[in-house]
Amino acid sequence: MAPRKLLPILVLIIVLLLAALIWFYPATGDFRAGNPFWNGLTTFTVQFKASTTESLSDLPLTPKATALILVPYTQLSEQELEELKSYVSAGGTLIIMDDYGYGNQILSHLKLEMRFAGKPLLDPLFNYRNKWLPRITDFSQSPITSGVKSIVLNHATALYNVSETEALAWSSSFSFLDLDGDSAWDPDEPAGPFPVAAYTKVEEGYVVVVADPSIMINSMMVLDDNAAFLKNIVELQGQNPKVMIDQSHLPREPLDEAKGTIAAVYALASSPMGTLSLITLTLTVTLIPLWWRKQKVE
Amino acid sequence: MNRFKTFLAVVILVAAILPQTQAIAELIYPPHEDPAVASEEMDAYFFLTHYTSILTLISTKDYADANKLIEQLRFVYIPEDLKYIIHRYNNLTSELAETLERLDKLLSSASTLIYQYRLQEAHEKLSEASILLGKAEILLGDIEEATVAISNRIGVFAAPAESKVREAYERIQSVLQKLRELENEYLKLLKSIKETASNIEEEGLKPTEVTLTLNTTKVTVGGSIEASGNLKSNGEDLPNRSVTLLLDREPVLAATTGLDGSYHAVIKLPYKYVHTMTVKALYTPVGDDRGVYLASESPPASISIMFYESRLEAVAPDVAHPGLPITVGGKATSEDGTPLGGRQVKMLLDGAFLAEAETNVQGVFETEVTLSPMVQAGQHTLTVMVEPHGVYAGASQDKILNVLKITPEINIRAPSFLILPAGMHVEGEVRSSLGPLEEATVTLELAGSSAFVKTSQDGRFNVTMEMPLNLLLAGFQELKVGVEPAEPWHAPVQARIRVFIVNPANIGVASAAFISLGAVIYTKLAKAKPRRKQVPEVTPTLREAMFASTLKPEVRFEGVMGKVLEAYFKAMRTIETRTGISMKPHMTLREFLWEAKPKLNGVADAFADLTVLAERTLYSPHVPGVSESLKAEELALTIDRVLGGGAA
Repeated sequence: MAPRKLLPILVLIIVLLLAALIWFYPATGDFRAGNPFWNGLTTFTVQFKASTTESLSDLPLTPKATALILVPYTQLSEQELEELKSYVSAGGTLIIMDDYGYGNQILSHLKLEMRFAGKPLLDPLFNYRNKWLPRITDFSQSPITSGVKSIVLNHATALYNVSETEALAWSSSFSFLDLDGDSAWDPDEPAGPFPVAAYTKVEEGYVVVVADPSIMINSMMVLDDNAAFLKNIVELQGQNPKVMIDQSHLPREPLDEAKGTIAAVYALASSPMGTLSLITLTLTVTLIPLWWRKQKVE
Repeated sequence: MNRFKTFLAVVILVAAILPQTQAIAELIYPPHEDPAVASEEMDAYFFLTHYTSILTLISTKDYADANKLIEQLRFVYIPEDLKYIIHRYNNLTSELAETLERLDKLLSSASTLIYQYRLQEAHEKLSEASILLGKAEILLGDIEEATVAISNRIGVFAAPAESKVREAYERIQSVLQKLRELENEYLKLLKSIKETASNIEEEGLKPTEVTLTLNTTKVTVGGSIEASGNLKSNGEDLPNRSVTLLLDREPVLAATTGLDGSYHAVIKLPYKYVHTMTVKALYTPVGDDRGVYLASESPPASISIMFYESRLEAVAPDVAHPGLPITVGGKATSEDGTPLGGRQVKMLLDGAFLAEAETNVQGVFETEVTLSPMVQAGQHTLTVMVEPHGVYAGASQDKILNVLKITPEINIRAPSFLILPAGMHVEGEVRSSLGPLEEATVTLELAGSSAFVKTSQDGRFNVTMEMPLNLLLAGFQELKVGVEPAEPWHAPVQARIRVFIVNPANIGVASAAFISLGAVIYTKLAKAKPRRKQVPEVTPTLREAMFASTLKPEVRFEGVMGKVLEAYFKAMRTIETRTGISMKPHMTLREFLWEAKPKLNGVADAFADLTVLAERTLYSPHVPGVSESLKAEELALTIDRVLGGGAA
């Protein structure tokens, strides 16, 4: 076959193979439900039979016995904030897990006093391996902390404006907020204990705030009582809730983008019009040269 | 142009699929690191500071708080190479705190005993305290050595002299010095108490003797006993002295001796349902007796406590369900079978209070107990206990309670055949042994599509699943129906049925692909065959014309190709006529050229060119242009002119 004809076919095959590879290769982005690596949520997803949601518009209208886990790493629109408010007000459990993202935007919209500090919480003594992984051992009495002796955070922050009744867990007195980013405590930097988890009732529902989303990634679920803590959180309003993980406010990695594009193409192709167009296109592309040659010969 | 189009299409396709490089909002700090490969680090400053806090608390005799901090040490991350030494260090610290606390209590107790002139007991305590003090000294020595060793390992001595770590090390050394001082303090106290005891002994205080007699050795629980005895010193009665009566070593009553040194008291026994208790009488000198008499304690007198054992026959189901009531009943009787009416009965589940009831005059009780909806499925212990009352002791009985969730049954009606895209109507009902399940969440999943629906009051549900086109061609797929009951006593359940799905769109695409492929293959084959056939098709006509010496006048060549072939035919006829070499049926054009060439004076090249043109026209897919047909005609004319002019 002439190279002129072979080249497009080869490129097409490569593109299709590439698309298949991208489609079947697991997601690698942080907090992605389909990511089986250390920074993914497959363990959490399997353990809690969690489903994912790509849009807050898909939240159930009757959210009782459901829990929504939100890692707000991108800004939320006014409409999304309203949807979250409606979700909580109607009885859902909203679990905001944030450290350096846009959690305060949600808290502010829900008219809650508590806030994320947004600065790294380091604990040079009570930790797992190093000060960026603080170990939390001080808990208040609550259904969420039942059976929990210690949890390990990972590049977390602290909460402030949290009342005694709202706070669930505190960091140690050796912890501090690293305001200047030098990884060392300076006299002007606030020292612990700081609240790192809290919850409050909002109308019919609950808002649980955890100052570290990384507690639920695959590599962290196995540490200390992290899994038990998360189980208690999602089961705050009863056993076996329907757990949803929002994926629409996570930074998208190039692989996620590519998967999204392929998914969009697939969705388009699997629509009746898309499929019909595909059939037409396939027939046209393959049969036109034959027809054209025939014309030429004649 | 075609190449450009192809290139453009490929670029668009690749650009659509390949990772986008759009700007992603970056977080200020990394959200996490992999804990499995996170660097191990130990902050020497904070480590030493924590130990300084612990040792400071010990040095200030705040053993309770020191123990709390020691307890927290298990949450401190210790690198693997330091684990053993720090683990030992923690144990030493913990042991030191415990030893010093016990020492403190013993010395305090000994001091009290000395004050009470209970020298014998005080000596026992002091002897034990001496051993503990020796142990504390060894422990402290070990801790001092371990502090230096650990500080060395965690790089304290490598730090500059003015560094925070060195400061922390100096502080811990200073606290260790305080501990040495504390140890000396205890040593001094021990010596002081011993000296006091020795002084008392040297004072030659008068010994005393207190006796104890009980009016009975058997008494009903909660009853009273009369205790009496005498207090003497060297045979002399000691009147108006206070004698303390101890019940199981706890003071319960003080009696005053009469003029004859005798005392008498009635001890009201507590409702403590034990079979034996011990009573002692204790005299400790007070007031003017201090410095005159020694303390004394009577030999112990045992009393048997009598009470009735209660019997309990509890009845509880073996199986219970979370959130649903169970009936717990039973009967409480005494040992002789007398019904125990009006008795409080408590029910505990795994030690936690569940409910309470009261027995009727027949000693029977029955109550409905609702288990918490949160109770985990599995085996639990239900404890039924009758509270003690008066002379009747309490009784309890443990029952194993299997907490189970009821598994509902799902009845599904769904089509067994489906053509996509379609709305698949599924209906059914969910029931259990307790009746229909209301408000249960039914989840349906089929070939990547899903739907949710709640059951109605009669446990029925119906839903239409929108089934869009997907990658399937045709085949059986499983419809998974999951039910999440609203009631805590029902277990989630799943059912599966098989549905045959046909996807005409994909079948269409596949068919299109096959048709296209078939068409391409057919065309290729057809194109390949005609080339072989084209020669016979055209050649026979040509050859017929060439070899049948008479060309039928109606044989005509059409189009550009025909003009080339016609030119060749003319030239061939001319050559046959002039050279006598004829084109035989088995000959190719080129064989004819080679045979005729020696006789083609001056036109060999022209005929060769014409032969090539004819061959290309006949055998290649190349379609000759007008210029080629003109060239062929020109070549034919040249041959005709050179070989003899005029047409044959």
